[in-house]
Amino acid sequence: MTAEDVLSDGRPEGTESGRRSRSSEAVLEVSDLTVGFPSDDGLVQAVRGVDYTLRGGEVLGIVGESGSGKSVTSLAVMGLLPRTAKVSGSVRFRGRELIGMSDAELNQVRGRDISMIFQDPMTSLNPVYSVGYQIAEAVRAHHDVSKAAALDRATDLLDLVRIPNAKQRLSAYPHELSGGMRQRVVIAIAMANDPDVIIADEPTTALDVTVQAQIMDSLEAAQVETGAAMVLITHDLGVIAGQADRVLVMYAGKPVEIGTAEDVFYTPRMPYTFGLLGSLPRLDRPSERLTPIPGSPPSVVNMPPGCPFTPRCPLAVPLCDEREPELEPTTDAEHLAACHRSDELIGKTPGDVFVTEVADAEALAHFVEESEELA
Amino acid sequence: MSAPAVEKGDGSAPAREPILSARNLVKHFPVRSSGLIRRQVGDIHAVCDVSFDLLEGETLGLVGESGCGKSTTARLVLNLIKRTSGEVFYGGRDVSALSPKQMRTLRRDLQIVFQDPYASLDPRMPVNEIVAEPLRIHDMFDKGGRELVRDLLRTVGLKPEHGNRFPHEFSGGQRQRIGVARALALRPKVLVLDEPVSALDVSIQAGVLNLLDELQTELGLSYLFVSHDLSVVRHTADRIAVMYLGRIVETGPAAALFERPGHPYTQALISAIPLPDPRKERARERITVVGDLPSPADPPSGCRFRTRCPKFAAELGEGERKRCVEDNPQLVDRGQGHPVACHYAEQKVLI
Amino acid sequence: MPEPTTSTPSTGASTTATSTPPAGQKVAGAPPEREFTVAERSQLQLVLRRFLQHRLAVVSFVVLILLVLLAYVGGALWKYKFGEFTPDESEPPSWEHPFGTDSAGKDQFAQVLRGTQISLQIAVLVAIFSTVIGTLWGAVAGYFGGIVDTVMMRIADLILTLPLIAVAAMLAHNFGGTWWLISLVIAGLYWAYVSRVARGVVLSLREKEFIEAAKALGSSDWRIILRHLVPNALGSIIVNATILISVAILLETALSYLGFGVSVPDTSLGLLVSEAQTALSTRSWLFYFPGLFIILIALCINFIGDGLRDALDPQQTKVRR
Repeated sequence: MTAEDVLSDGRPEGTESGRRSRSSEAVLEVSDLTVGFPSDDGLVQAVRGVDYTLRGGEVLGIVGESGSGKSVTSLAVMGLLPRTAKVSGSVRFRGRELIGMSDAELNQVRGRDISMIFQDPMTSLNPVYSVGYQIAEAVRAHHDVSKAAALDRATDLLDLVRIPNAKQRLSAYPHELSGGMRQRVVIAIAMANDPDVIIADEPTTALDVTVQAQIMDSLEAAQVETGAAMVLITHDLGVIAGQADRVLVMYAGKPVEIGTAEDVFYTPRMPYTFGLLGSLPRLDRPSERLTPIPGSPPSVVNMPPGCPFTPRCPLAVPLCDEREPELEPTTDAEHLAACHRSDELIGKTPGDVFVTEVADAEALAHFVEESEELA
Repeated sequence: MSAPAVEKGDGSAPAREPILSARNLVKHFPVRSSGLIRRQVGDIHAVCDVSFDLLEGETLGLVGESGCGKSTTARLVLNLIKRTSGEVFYGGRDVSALSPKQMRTLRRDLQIVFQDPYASLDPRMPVNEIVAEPLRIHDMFDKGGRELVRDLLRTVGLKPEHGNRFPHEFSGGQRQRIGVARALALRPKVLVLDEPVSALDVSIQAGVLNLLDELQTELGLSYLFVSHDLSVVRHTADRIAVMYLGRIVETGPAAALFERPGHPYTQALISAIPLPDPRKERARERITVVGDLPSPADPPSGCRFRTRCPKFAAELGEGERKRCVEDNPQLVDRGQGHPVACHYAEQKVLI
Repeated sequence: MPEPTTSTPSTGASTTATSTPPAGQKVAGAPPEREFTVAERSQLQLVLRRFLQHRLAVVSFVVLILLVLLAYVGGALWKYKFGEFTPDESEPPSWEHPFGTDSAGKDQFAQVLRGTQISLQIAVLVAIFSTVIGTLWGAVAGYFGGIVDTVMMRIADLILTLPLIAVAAMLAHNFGGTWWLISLVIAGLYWAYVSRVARGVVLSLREKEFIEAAKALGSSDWRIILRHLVPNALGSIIVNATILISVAILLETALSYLGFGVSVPDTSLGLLVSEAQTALSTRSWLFYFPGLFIILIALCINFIGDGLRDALDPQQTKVRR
């Protein structure tokens, strides 16, 4: 262990950190993307119309809870959904339509132009090949270089994602590496061909926090090195706050709010976002009452009309049950929210919108009485 | 849960009586060779000399990453697994020395809520039966158990009408509430919460945390709250013990520990948690540890954290490092106001 | 024991604060409807639904029911009783005797129906006995593990190594004759198979958190085994029991065929086949009809077992959002 292994750095101030080269040119445009899966109970509408534009070099964070369709969206972008899935809408990479492309054509795009990092590195690494071989293969899939040159590149890539003793690690097999190490190998593979877009789907969910910090560092290094734009999908609002330039919040298969990280975290305009922020226990504040969102996320099978958040929303009015709100610009043209009562949320805090649930006091009192009789 | 009475920043003797105490708990799991005759070839040092007091009515947070032995500690406390050595005292008696019959009686006072709401409820039992099970086990159901179950379900936020449904019909948050109801049925005094919200989405997690908070106040419960999530522990716990590779490395009142952590591991842990606040998060000082957890079957000599310690790697001289390699640092107050197990403990402000 | 006094000072204040929630507050006891994200279906309905999708199993089930009805109801209504001698000797199948008659003039249809009854009874009894014994044996071994497991499973292994037919023949020869004694003999040898299956399932269930939860609640070991382990292992065990039924029918056939099974004057499908073997070339109907019934029953039960296995497959039982 040497001193160089220890990374202890302060981050640049502010959100516009300038650590990434950013252009305003759109590299990935997703419009009206829908994905359905037929099931016994009817069509599962996993994604119900997602629109977003990813600009060169930026990080777009997609947050949502399990079942919100955030992962399915990215799988649809990559053309990785099973054949039974019904996909419609449009996904354009630098103007080229990806939906409807043949597998052979998609293979030219996947890995070279757009690459993906999954939650579980074991699913993307082949257990019977050494990691050096796998990275070299990724390089050679899109570039006509010698094996030796590809292995040299692999060493560089492992260095970049901060794997110590990169050269020796080339001959290691995935099972010989720890979870964090494996995920870094996956990141190295993802950046092997200098992609324009990296999609990272919950890249740190399965890992411990200290390892998560290491992976986020590697991911940042990968992004700076390749200059790629990144879609970062996670349920962890903290990770989003640290990494994303813009944030898209998904609920029940649809974006409900999109804006810069500061917009979404400091001036949210959709009750669901308020609820998420109010539900988070905070490390940086003394403990205060949390304001959970009542109820559970809706089933995305046979959805009734109206806003899917209505049953859990303290601001719901009859209109919400009748018509689902569109994603529309708020006071800021870059900050969009899908809520009929979006304007009323200006200047509110989660505590103003949501009420703290209290236990049923009468039941509790009965319970105390009865349990004392029993004992 | 911010009971002011437990603030004891000076590290002096506890103001209240401990309801549950662990003393020098050790647990080794045997590692066996594969093959017909499975010889024992080594030990996993899961828990190593862990001591703590749980005071009446307080929440003690036990935090650490996977493999640090926090869940094993929780199970040792409940005597669900056999300790290798050490004692657990409840009500003045050593729990692990009790006869099975005495242990059964004691179980009424010590209960547990598990992490995975999908695995901790018997899938073949309707919810009413799951919650009634503890009463039946202790022959208390016939004396009005049905009513109690109804009220209990209402207390945790479920409809009693749904009591004849099966666990798979409920969402994760609702299942966890069922788990809480089951644990409460016998009116325990101490509740061990083993990662009770880790498997839940944030919006659901908050509801369960609030419920636990309220139940603690209303029922006078003491919580041993085991979690890997520092934010959650910061929110719920009065006092915190940080574990690394089977040992407690730092312990103290929640506020003090987060504001002035003394152990390099605690510091790394705190700085690794991303804050859901873009400006703060991007302006923070980071202390990053390198590498991965060493194997608990062969832990490092001396200080177990030294192989990943940023201080050891970057700040200490050759002579100072020798001490880390040879000497296991004791968990004592080194001027931080709370006990820290690091020879070179130094406070840092990270939030 | 210290009194939980800490709760009392705060209880008074907070109960008054919470007992009348302000208008805006939602009481946790009344969350909005639509709270069930999972379609409301019981486990049984799910299993039934999937079983019904298995066409072959459903057809087999119907055929088996018809066979059982035919054997019992048909047997009772048919104009000839079992064992009754008719004046017609060695007649080929006709409207009068659908399955023909044997050389003594017994109506073969009545004989086959009686044989089916006995064979089915033996099979069901074997399934019940060996399942109950085997399940408990395996569950106890799997749950306690260690030396208990080793000893119990070695005993089971020992029984599995016995040459089944030979031992069954010997036992049946000494005790045998009546159908239920035969059943006991077969069950006494077959429970070991079931115990292996049950042990396997219990070994995986034992590590589940709900078992640990039961221990933490103070459940006795027997309570855990009977109330949690066995009901959860039941799926795989039922599948095994169905297959056991068809195995038992075949084994009984084999035993009776060898002359160690059900003995005259009673009859079984195996015995009928055995009696008819000498007549195969001249009066083949005597052989084919009971043989056909054996195949039909065994096939039906195997298909039903297949269907049940698919329906109870835990991979598909995972009902999540």
